[in-house]
Amino acid sequence: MTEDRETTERLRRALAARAETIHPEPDGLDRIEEQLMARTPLTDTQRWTIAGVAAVATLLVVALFVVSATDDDDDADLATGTSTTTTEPVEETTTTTEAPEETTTTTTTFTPAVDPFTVAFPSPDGSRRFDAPAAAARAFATDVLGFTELVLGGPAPTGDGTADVAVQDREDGPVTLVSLQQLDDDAWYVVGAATEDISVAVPGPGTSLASPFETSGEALAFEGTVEVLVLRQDDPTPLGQGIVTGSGAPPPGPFQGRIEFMPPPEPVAGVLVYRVTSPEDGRVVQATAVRVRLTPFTS
Amino acid sequence: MATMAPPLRRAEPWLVGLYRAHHRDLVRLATLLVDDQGSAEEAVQDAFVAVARRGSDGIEDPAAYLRTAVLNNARSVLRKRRVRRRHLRSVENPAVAPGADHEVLVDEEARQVLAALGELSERQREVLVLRYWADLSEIEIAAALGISTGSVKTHAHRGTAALARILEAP
Repeated sequence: MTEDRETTERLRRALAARAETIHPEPDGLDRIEEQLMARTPLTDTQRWTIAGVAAVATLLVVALFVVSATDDDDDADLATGTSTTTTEPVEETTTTTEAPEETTTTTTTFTPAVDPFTVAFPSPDGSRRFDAPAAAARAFATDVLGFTELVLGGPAPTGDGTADVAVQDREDGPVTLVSLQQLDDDAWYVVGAATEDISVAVPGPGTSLASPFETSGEALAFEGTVEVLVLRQDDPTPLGQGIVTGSGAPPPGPFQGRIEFMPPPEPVAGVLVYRVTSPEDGRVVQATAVRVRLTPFTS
Repeated sequence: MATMAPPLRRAEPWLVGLYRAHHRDLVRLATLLVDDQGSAEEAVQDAFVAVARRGSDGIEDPAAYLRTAVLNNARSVLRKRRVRRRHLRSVENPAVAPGADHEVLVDEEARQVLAALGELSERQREVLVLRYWADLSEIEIAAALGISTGSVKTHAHRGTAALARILEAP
Protein backbone atom coordinates (compact mmCIF):
# COMPACT_ATOMS: atom_id res chain seq x y z
CA MET A 1 0.00 0.00 0.00
CA THR A 2 1.46 3.33 -0.99
CA GLU A 3 -0.95 5.77 0.56
CA ASP A 4 -0.03 9.18 1.83
CA ARG A 5 2.43 8.33 4.60
CA GLU A 6 1.69 11.31 6.79
CA THR A 7 -2.04 10.64 6.73
CA THR A 8 -1.64 6.96 7.47
CA GLU A 9 0.70 7.71 10.36
CA ARG A 10 -1.80 10.15 11.81
CA LEU A 11 -4.48 7.52 11.38
CA ARG A 12 -2.35 4.86 13.02
CA ARG A 13 -1.69 7.10 16.03
CA ALA A 14 -5.33 8.11 16.37
CA LEU A 15 -6.56 4.52 16.19
CA ALA A 16 -3.99 3.40 18.74
CA ALA A 17 -4.92 6.26 21.07
CA ARG A 18 -8.61 5.47 20.76
CA ALA A 19 -8.07 1.73 21.21
CA GLU A 20 -6.17 2.37 24.43
CA THR A 21 -9.27 3.98 25.89
CA ILE A 22 -11.38 0.88 25.25
CA HIS A 23 -11.49 -1.52 28.18
CA PRO A 24 -13.88 -4.44 27.70
CA GLU A 25 -16.31 -5.22 30.49
CA PRO A 26 -14.89 -7.91 32.77
CA ASP A 27 -17.99 -10.09 32.57
CA GLY A 28 -17.72 -10.80 28.84
CA LEU A 29 -17.11 -14.50 29.27
CA ASP A 30 -20.00 -14.79 31.74
CA ARG A 31 -22.30 -13.18 29.21
CA ILE A 32 -21.13 -15.52 26.49
CA GLU A 33 -21.77 -18.48 28.80
CA GLU A 34 -25.21 -17.12 29.62
CA GLN A 35 -26.02 -17.04 25.93
CA LEU A 36 -24.68 -20.54 25.50
CA MET A 37 -26.73 -21.86 28.40
CA ALA A 38 -29.88 -20.11 27.26
CA ARG A 39 -32.22 -21.98 24.98
CA THR A 40 -31.70 -21.29 21.35
CA PRO A 41 -34.74 -19.39 20.10
CA LEU A 42 -36.94 -21.66 18.06
CA THR A 43 -37.44 -20.90 14.43
CA ASP A 44 -40.96 -20.37 13.17
CA THR A 45 -40.91 -23.77 11.53
CA GLN A 46 -39.98 -25.39 14.82
CA ARG A 47 -42.64 -23.45 16.68
CA TRP A 48 -45.32 -24.44 14.20
CA THR A 49 -44.19 -28.05 14.28
CA ILE A 50 -44.43 -28.16 18.06
CA ALA A 51 -47.79 -26.35 17.99
CA GLY A 52 -49.05 -28.78 15.36
CA VAL A 53 -48.01 -31.85 17.35
CA ALA A 54 -49.56 -30.40 20.50
CA ALA A 55 -52.79 -29.60 18.66
CA VAL A 56 -53.04 -33.10 17.21
CA ALA A 57 -52.40 -34.65 20.62
CA THR A 58 -55.05 -32.45 22.22
CA LEU A 59 -57.56 -33.32 19.52
CA LEU A 60 -56.90 -37.03 20.02
CA VAL A 61 -57.46 -36.77 23.76
CA VAL A 62 -60.67 -34.75 23.29
CA ALA A 63 -61.91 -37.15 20.59
CA LEU A 64 -61.36 -40.15 22.85
CA PHE A 65 -63.18 -38.43 25.68
CA VAL A 66 -66.12 -37.46 23.45
CA VAL A 67 -66.42 -41.00 22.13
CA SER A 68 -66.53 -42.24 25.68
CA ALA A 69 -69.15 -39.66 26.70
CA THR A 70 -71.25 -40.36 23.60
CA ASP A 71 -71.34 -44.03 24.46
CA ASP A 72 -72.86 -43.14 27.83
CA ASP A 73 -75.43 -40.86 26.19
CA ASP A 74 -76.41 -43.57 23.75
CA ASP A 75 -77.41 -45.74 26.68
CA ALA A 76 -79.60 -42.97 28.07
CA ASP A 77 -81.22 -42.28 24.71
CA LEU A 78 -82.08 -45.89 24.27
CA ALA A 79 -83.71 -45.94 27.68
CA THR A 80 -86.02 -43.01 26.90
CA GLY A 81 -86.50 -43.84 23.26
CA THR A 82 -85.62 -40.30 22.13
CA SER A 83 -83.04 -39.04 19.73
CA THR A 84 -81.11 -36.05 21.01
CA THR A 85 -78.01 -34.15 20.17
CA THR A 86 -75.44 -33.87 22.91
CA THR A 87 -75.22 -30.28 24.02
CA GLU A 88 -73.76 -30.69 27.45
CA PRO A 89 -70.21 -29.51 28.05
CA VAL A 90 -67.88 -32.46 27.93
CA GLU A 91 -65.83 -31.42 30.92
CA GLU A 92 -66.82 -33.55 33.89
CA THR A 93 -65.48 -31.02 36.33
CA THR A 94 -68.02 -28.36 35.32
CA THR A 95 -70.16 -27.64 38.37
CA THR A 96 -72.03 -24.54 37.28
CA THR A 97 -75.61 -24.98 36.15
CA GLU A 98 -75.42 -22.04 33.80
CA ALA A 99 -74.69 -22.49 30.15
CA PRO A 100 -70.98 -22.24 29.44
CA GLU A 101 -69.95 -18.91 28.13
CA GLU A 102 -69.46 -18.75 24.44
CA THR A 103 -66.09 -17.64 23.20
CA THR A 104 -66.60 -14.32 21.57
CA THR A 105 -64.35 -11.92 19.78
CA THR A 106 -64.87 -8.40 20.93
CA THR A 107 -63.76 -5.45 18.95
CA THR A 108 -63.15 -2.34 20.94
CA THR A 109 -63.30 1.01 19.32
CA PHE A 110 -60.16 2.90 20.18
CA THR A 111 -59.66 6.58 20.14
CA PRO A 112 -56.37 6.91 18.30
CA ALA A 113 -53.63 7.98 20.70
CA VAL A 114 -51.11 7.77 17.90
CA ASP A 115 -50.83 9.88 14.79
CA PRO A 116 -51.41 7.45 11.90
CA PHE A 117 -48.90 9.29 9.75
CA THR A 118 -46.01 8.52 12.10
CA VAL A 119 -46.32 4.75 11.75
CA ALA A 120 -46.54 2.20 8.98
CA PHE A 121 -48.52 -0.52 10.75
CA PRO A 122 -51.00 -1.24 12.28
CA SER A 123 -53.44 1.55 11.64
CA PRO A 124 -53.98 3.48 14.90
CA ASP A 125 -57.56 4.04 13.67
CA GLY A 126 -58.23 0.31 13.69
CA SER A 127 -58.57 -2.15 16.53
CA ARG A 128 -55.40 -4.17 16.02
CA ARG A 129 -52.84 -3.69 18.74
CA PHE A 130 -49.64 -5.55 19.52
CA ASP A 131 -48.15 -5.74 22.96
CA ALA A 132 -44.92 -7.31 21.72
CA PRO A 133 -42.62 -6.16 18.91
CA ALA A 134 -42.23 -9.66 17.46
CA ALA A 135 -46.00 -10.03 17.07
CA ALA A 136 -46.25 -6.71 15.28
CA ALA A 137 -43.30 -7.58 13.03
CA ARG A 138 -44.80 -10.95 12.18
CA ALA A 139 -48.18 -9.46 11.26
CA PHE A 140 -46.53 -6.72 9.22
CA ALA A 141 -44.32 -9.19 7.36
CA THR A 142 -47.21 -11.42 6.38
CA ASP A 143 -50.08 -8.94 5.99
CA VAL A 144 -48.23 -6.00 4.45
CA LEU A 145 -44.92 -7.19 3.01
CA GLY A 146 -46.44 -10.43 1.76
CA PHE A 147 -44.07 -12.99 3.27
CA THR A 148 -45.51 -16.48 3.11
CA GLU A 149 -42.62 -18.16 4.91
CA LEU A 150 -41.10 -16.59 7.98
CA VAL A 151 -38.09 -17.00 10.17
CA LEU A 152 -38.39 -14.36 12.83
CA GLY A 153 -35.43 -13.21 14.89
CA GLY A 154 -35.80 -12.19 18.51
CA PRO A 155 -36.50 -8.51 19.00
CA ALA A 156 -33.31 -6.52 19.42
CA PRO A 157 -33.88 -3.47 21.62
CA THR A 158 -32.37 -0.41 19.99
CA GLY A 159 -33.27 2.13 22.60
CA ASP A 160 -35.99 3.07 25.02
CA GLY A 161 -39.19 1.71 23.51
CA THR A 162 -37.67 0.86 20.16
CA ALA A 163 -36.66 -2.46 18.69
CA ASP A 164 -35.69 -4.18 15.47
CA VAL A 165 -36.92 -7.59 14.44
CA ALA A 166 -35.11 -9.48 11.70
CA VAL A 167 -37.36 -11.26 9.23
CA GLN A 168 -36.19 -13.85 6.73
CA ASP A 169 -37.99 -16.16 4.34
CA ARG A 170 -35.62 -18.91 5.43
CA GLU A 171 -32.73 -19.19 7.84
CA ASP A 172 -30.09 -18.40 5.24
CA GLY A 173 -32.22 -15.85 3.42
CA PRO A 174 -31.58 -12.11 3.24
CA VAL A 175 -32.56 -10.14 6.32
CA THR A 176 -35.40 -7.68 6.26
CA LEU A 177 -35.11 -5.53 9.33
CA VAL A 178 -38.47 -4.41 10.70
CA SER A 179 -38.14 -1.33 12.92
CA LEU A 180 -40.66 -0.87 15.69
CA GLN A 181 -41.53 1.65 18.31
CA GLN A 182 -43.72 1.51 21.39
CA LEU A 183 -45.90 4.60 21.35
CA ASP A 184 -48.19 6.48 23.69
CA ASP A 185 -50.80 3.75 23.94
CA ASP A 186 -48.07 1.24 24.98
CA ALA A 187 -48.67 -0.76 21.83
CA TRP A 188 -45.91 -1.60 19.35
CA TYR A 189 -46.01 -0.11 15.87
CA VAL A 190 -43.91 -0.75 12.80
CA VAL A 191 -42.25 2.44 11.61
CA GLY A 192 -40.50 0.94 8.61
CA ALA A 193 -38.57 -1.95 7.18
CA ALA A 194 -35.37 -2.15 5.24
CA THR A 195 -33.13 -4.64 3.61
CA GLU A 196 -29.55 -4.14 2.54
CA ASP A 197 -30.37 -4.90 -1.09
CA ILE A 198 -33.19 -2.36 -1.52
CA SER A 199 -32.44 1.20 -0.58
CA VAL A 200 -35.12 3.77 -1.34
CA ALA A 201 -33.85 7.32 -1.73
CA VAL A 202 -37.10 8.90 -2.95
CA PRO A 203 -39.68 9.19 -1.52
CA GLY A 204 -38.50 9.47 2.06
CA PRO A 205 -40.54 8.47 5.11
CA GLY A 206 -43.54 10.71 5.71
CA THR A 207 -43.61 12.16 2.19
CA SER A 208 -47.00 13.25 0.80
CA LEU A 209 -47.57 11.54 -2.52
CA ALA A 210 -49.87 12.30 -5.40
CA SER A 211 -50.38 9.88 -8.26
CA PRO A 212 -48.20 9.24 -10.17
CA PHE A 213 -45.01 9.72 -8.16
CA GLU A 214 -41.35 9.27 -8.94
CA THR A 215 -39.25 6.84 -6.97
CA SER A 216 -35.54 6.14 -7.02
CA GLY A 217 -32.91 4.30 -5.08
CA GLU A 218 -30.61 1.33 -5.38
CA ALA A 219 -31.44 -2.33 -5.54
CA LEU A 220 -29.92 -5.73 -6.05
CA ALA A 221 -32.38 -8.41 -7.10
CA PHE A 222 -32.83 -11.32 -9.44
CA GLU A 223 -32.73 -9.72 -12.89
CA GLY A 224 -32.81 -6.43 -11.00
CA THR A 225 -36.58 -6.62 -10.64
CA VAL A 226 -38.20 -4.98 -7.64
CA GLU A 227 -41.96 -4.95 -7.21
CA VAL A 228 -43.44 -1.74 -5.79
CA LEU A 229 -46.81 -1.75 -4.00
CA VAL A 230 -48.79 1.27 -2.83
CA LEU A 231 -50.95 0.36 0.15
CA ARG A 232 -53.28 2.19 2.45
CA GLN A 233 -52.28 1.66 6.05
CA ASP A 234 -55.67 0.17 6.83
CA ASP A 235 -56.14 -2.00 3.76
CA PRO A 236 -53.86 -4.70 2.31
CA THR A 237 -55.33 -4.32 -1.17
CA PRO A 238 -52.85 -2.30 -3.26
CA LEU A 239 -54.01 1.04 -4.60
CA GLY A 240 -51.29 0.74 -7.19
CA GLN A 241 -48.24 -1.23 -8.13
CA GLY A 242 -45.35 -1.22 -10.52
CA ILE A 243 -41.89 -2.53 -11.24
CA VAL A 244 -38.52 -0.82 -10.95
CA THR A 245 -35.25 -2.30 -12.13
CA GLY A 246 -32.01 -2.14 -10.21
CA SER A 247 -29.02 -4.40 -10.66
CA GLY A 248 -29.05 -8.14 -11.18
CA ALA A 249 -25.50 -8.60 -9.87
CA PRO A 250 -23.56 -6.99 -7.00
CA PRO A 251 -23.25 -4.20 -6.15
CA PRO A 252 -26.78 -2.79 -5.95
CA GLY A 253 -27.55 -0.59 -8.96
CA PRO A 254 -29.68 2.54 -9.23
CA PHE A 255 -33.35 2.33 -10.07
CA GLN A 256 -35.82 5.00 -11.05
CA GLY A 257 -39.49 4.68 -11.84
CA ARG A 258 -42.91 6.26 -11.90
CA ILE A 259 -45.69 4.57 -9.98
CA GLU A 260 -49.41 5.27 -10.32
CA PHE A 261 -52.02 4.59 -7.70
CA MET A 262 -55.73 5.09 -7.30
CA PRO A 263 -56.06 8.32 -5.31
CA PRO A 264 -57.92 7.91 -2.02
CA PRO A 265 -60.91 10.24 -1.42
CA GLU A 266 -59.00 12.02 1.34
CA PRO A 267 -55.38 12.03 2.58
CA VAL A 268 -54.60 8.74 4.26
CA ALA A 269 -51.59 7.09 5.82
CA GLY A 270 -50.00 4.62 3.46
CA VAL A 271 -47.04 2.34 2.95
CA LEU A 272 -44.82 1.76 -0.05
CA VAL A 273 -43.51 -1.77 -0.23
CA TYR A 274 -40.48 -2.53 -2.39
CA ARG A 275 -40.03 -6.26 -2.52
CA VAL A 276 -38.06 -8.97 -4.22
CA THR A 277 -39.57 -12.35 -4.93
CA SER A 278 -37.91 -15.69 -5.48
CA PRO A 279 -37.53 -16.78 -9.10
CA GLU A 280 -38.17 -20.35 -7.89
CA ASP A 281 -41.65 -20.03 -6.48
CA GLY A 282 -42.53 -16.35 -6.29
CA ARG A 283 -42.38 -16.10 -2.51
CA VAL A 284 -41.29 -12.78 -1.05
CA VAL A 285 -37.66 -12.97 0.06
CA GLN A 286 -36.92 -9.42 1.19
CA ALA A 287 -38.61 -6.05 1.31
CA THR A 288 -38.16 -2.43 2.21
CA ALA A 289 -41.16 -0.44 3.40
CA VAL A 290 -41.57 3.32 3.64
CA ARG A 291 -44.47 5.01 5.39
CA VAL A 292 -46.01 7.83 3.36
CA ARG A 293 -49.09 10.03 3.10
CA LEU A 294 -51.29 9.28 0.11
CA THR A 295 -53.22 12.28 -1.13
CA PRO A 296 -56.28 12.52 -3.41
CA PHE A 297 -54.46 14.83 -5.78
CA THR A 298 -52.93 13.91 -9.10
CA SER A 299 -49.61 15.18 -10.29
CA MET B 1 -39.00 -31.07 9.37
CA ALA B 2 -36.47 -28.50 10.56
CA THR B 3 -33.35 -29.67 12.32
CA MET B 4 -33.32 -28.73 15.97
CA ALA B 5 -30.47 -26.61 17.30
CA PRO B 6 -27.47 -28.62 18.54
CA PRO B 7 -27.10 -29.05 22.29
CA LEU B 8 -25.56 -26.07 23.97
CA ARG B 9 -22.73 -26.01 26.43
CA ARG B 10 -20.81 -23.85 28.83
CA ALA B 11 -17.60 -22.35 27.54
CA GLU B 12 -15.11 -25.15 27.10
CA PRO B 13 -11.37 -24.71 27.77
CA TRP B 14 -10.54 -24.12 24.11
CA LEU B 15 -13.14 -21.34 23.97
CA VAL B 16 -11.85 -19.79 27.19
CA GLY B 17 -8.35 -19.82 25.69
CA LEU B 18 -9.65 -18.17 22.55
CA TYR B 19 -11.49 -15.60 24.63
CA ARG B 20 -8.39 -14.71 26.65
CA ALA B 21 -6.27 -14.41 23.54
CA HIS B 22 -8.58 -12.32 21.39
CA HIS B 23 -11.50 -10.83 23.28
CA ARG B 24 -9.97 -7.49 24.16
CA ASP B 25 -8.63 -6.81 20.69
CA LEU B 26 -11.90 -7.82 19.08
CA VAL B 27 -13.86 -5.47 21.33
CA ARG B 28 -11.44 -2.72 20.39
CA LEU B 29 -11.74 -3.54 16.70
CA ALA B 30 -15.54 -3.54 16.84
CA THR B 31 -15.61 -0.32 18.86
CA LEU B 32 -13.36 1.39 16.32
CA LEU B 33 -15.86 0.41 13.64
CA VAL B 34 -19.18 1.12 15.36
CA ASP B 35 -18.02 3.81 17.80
CA ASP B 36 -20.15 2.44 20.61
CA GLN B 37 -18.59 0.04 23.08
CA GLY B 38 -21.89 -1.50 24.21
CA SER B 39 -22.85 -2.52 20.69
CA ALA B 40 -19.27 -3.63 20.05
CA GLU B 41 -19.24 -5.92 23.08
CA GLU B 42 -22.50 -7.51 21.96
CA ALA B 43 -21.12 -8.01 18.46
CA VAL B 44 -18.07 -9.76 19.90
CA GLN B 45 -20.11 -11.89 22.30
CA ASP B 46 -22.34 -13.03 19.45
CA ALA B 47 -19.24 -13.97 17.48
CA PHE B 48 -17.89 -16.09 20.37
CA VAL B 49 -21.27 -17.76 20.79
CA ALA B 50 -21.29 -18.59 17.07
CA VAL B 51 -17.81 -20.09 17.36
CA ALA B 52 -18.79 -22.08 20.45
CA ARG B 53 -21.83 -23.51 18.71
CA ARG B 54 -19.74 -24.66 15.78
CA GLY B 55 -17.25 -26.35 18.09
CA SER B 56 -13.47 -26.50 18.07
CA ASP B 57 -13.38 -29.06 15.26
CA GLY B 58 -15.69 -27.16 12.96
CA ILE B 59 -13.44 -24.17 12.27
CA GLU B 60 -10.03 -24.28 10.67
CA ASP B 61 -8.80 -20.91 11.96
CA PRO B 62 -10.93 -19.80 14.93
CA ALA B 63 -9.19 -16.42 15.26
CA ALA B 64 -9.85 -15.52 11.62
CA TYR B 65 -13.40 -16.83 11.91
CA LEU B 66 -13.98 -14.69 14.99
CA ARG B 67 -12.61 -11.61 13.27
CA THR B 68 -14.84 -12.09 10.26
CA ALA B 69 -17.85 -12.74 12.51
CA VAL B 70 -17.11 -9.56 14.45
CA LEU B 71 -16.80 -7.57 11.23
CA ASN B 72 -20.13 -8.95 10.01
CA ASN B 73 -21.80 -8.21 13.32
CA ALA B 74 -20.35 -4.70 13.38
CA ARG B 75 -21.70 -4.14 9.89
CA SER B 76 -25.08 -5.33 11.10
CA VAL B 77 -24.95 -2.83 13.97
CA LEU B 78 -24.25 -0.01 11.52
CA ARG B 79 -26.98 -1.17 9.16
CA LYS B 80 -29.53 -1.23 11.95
CA ARG B 81 -28.39 2.21 13.01
CA ARG B 82 -28.87 3.53 9.48
CA VAL B 83 -32.34 2.02 9.29
CA ARG B 84 -33.33 3.56 12.57
CA ARG B 85 -31.99 6.95 11.58
CA ARG B 86 -33.85 6.82 8.33
CA HIS B 87 -37.16 5.59 9.62
CA LEU B 88 -37.27 7.56 12.79
CA ARG B 89 -36.28 10.81 11.20
CA SER B 90 -39.61 12.38 12.03
CA VAL B 91 -40.39 10.29 15.10
CA GLU B 92 -38.48 11.77 17.96
CA ASN B 93 -35.95 9.27 19.26
CA PRO B 94 -32.70 10.46 20.75
CA ALA B 95 -31.55 6.86 21.24
CA VAL B 96 -30.76 6.56 17.56
CA ALA B 97 -27.53 8.49 17.75
CA PRO B 98 -24.39 6.45 18.41
CA GLY B 99 -22.48 7.17 21.60
CA ALA B 100 -19.27 8.87 20.58
CA ASP B 101 -17.70 8.47 23.98
CA HIS B 102 -14.18 8.81 22.58
CA GLU B 103 -14.65 12.54 22.28
CA VAL B 104 -13.61 13.15 25.84
CA LEU B 105 -10.95 10.46 25.96
CA VAL B 106 -8.52 11.26 23.17
CA ASP B 107 -6.62 14.40 22.21
CA GLU B 108 -7.72 16.95 19.63
CA GLU B 109 -5.53 15.53 16.87
CA ALA B 110 -6.86 11.99 17.31
CA ARG B 111 -10.40 13.32 17.61
CA GLN B 112 -10.08 15.07 14.24
CA VAL B 113 -8.69 11.99 12.54
CA LEU B 114 -11.36 9.73 14.03
CA ALA B 115 -14.09 12.16 13.00
CA ALA B 116 -12.69 12.15 9.47
CA LEU B 117 -12.56 8.36 9.52
CA GLY B 118 -16.24 8.37 10.43
CA GLU B 119 -17.03 10.19 7.19
CA LEU B 120 -15.61 7.44 5.00
CA SER B 121 -17.64 4.63 3.54
CA GLU B 122 -18.14 1.58 5.71
CA ARG B 123 -15.82 -0.54 3.57
CA GLN B 124 -13.05 2.05 3.47
CA ARG B 125 -13.26 2.41 7.23
CA GLU B 126 -13.04 -1.35 7.71
CA VAL B 127 -10.01 -1.65 5.45
CA LEU B 128 -8.16 1.24 7.10
CA VAL B 129 -8.88 0.03 10.63
CA LEU B 130 -7.78 -3.50 9.79
CA ARG B 131 -4.66 -2.19 8.08
CA TYR B 132 -3.55 0.56 10.41
CA TRP B 133 -4.81 -0.66 13.74
CA ALA B 134 -4.93 -4.45 13.46
CA ASP B 135 -1.84 -4.46 11.20
CA LEU B 136 -3.30 -7.08 8.88
CA SER B 137 -1.80 -7.72 5.46
CA GLU B 138 -3.80 -7.10 2.30
CA ILE B 139 -4.36 -10.84 1.97
CA GLU B 140 -5.62 -11.12 5.55
CA ILE B 141 -7.91 -8.12 5.09
CA ALA B 142 -9.26 -9.58 1.86
CA ALA B 143 -9.98 -12.87 3.61
CA ALA B 144 -11.60 -11.16 6.59
CA LEU B 145 -13.88 -9.04 4.44
CA GLY B 146 -14.51 -11.59 1.72
CA ILE B 147 -13.22 -9.33 -1.04
CA SER B 148 -10.27 -9.43 -3.43
CA THR B 149 -6.86 -8.00 -2.58
CA GLY B 150 -7.39 -5.61 -5.49
CA SER B 151 -10.49 -4.27 -3.78
CA VAL B 152 -8.53 -3.94 -0.54
CA LYS B 153 -5.94 -1.82 -2.33
CA THR B 154 -8.62 0.30 -3.95
CA HIS B 155 -10.49 0.90 -0.72
CA ALA B 156 -7.27 1.67 1.14
CA HIS B 157 -6.09 4.09 -1.51
CA ARG B 158 -9.39 5.91 -1.85
CA GLY B 159 -10.01 5.87 1.88
CA THR B 160 -6.63 7.39 2.65
CA ALA B 161 -7.03 10.00 -0.07
CA ALA B 162 -10.47 10.93 1.25
CA LEU B 163 -9.13 11.07 4.78
CA ALA B 164 -6.34 13.41 3.71
CA ARG B 165 -8.81 15.65 1.89
CA ILE B 166 -11.11 15.85 4.90
CA LEU B 167 -8.23 16.59 7.27
CA GLU B 168 -6.83 19.28 5.00
CA ALA B 169 -10.18 20.99 4.53
CA PRO B 170 -10.40 24.26 6.50
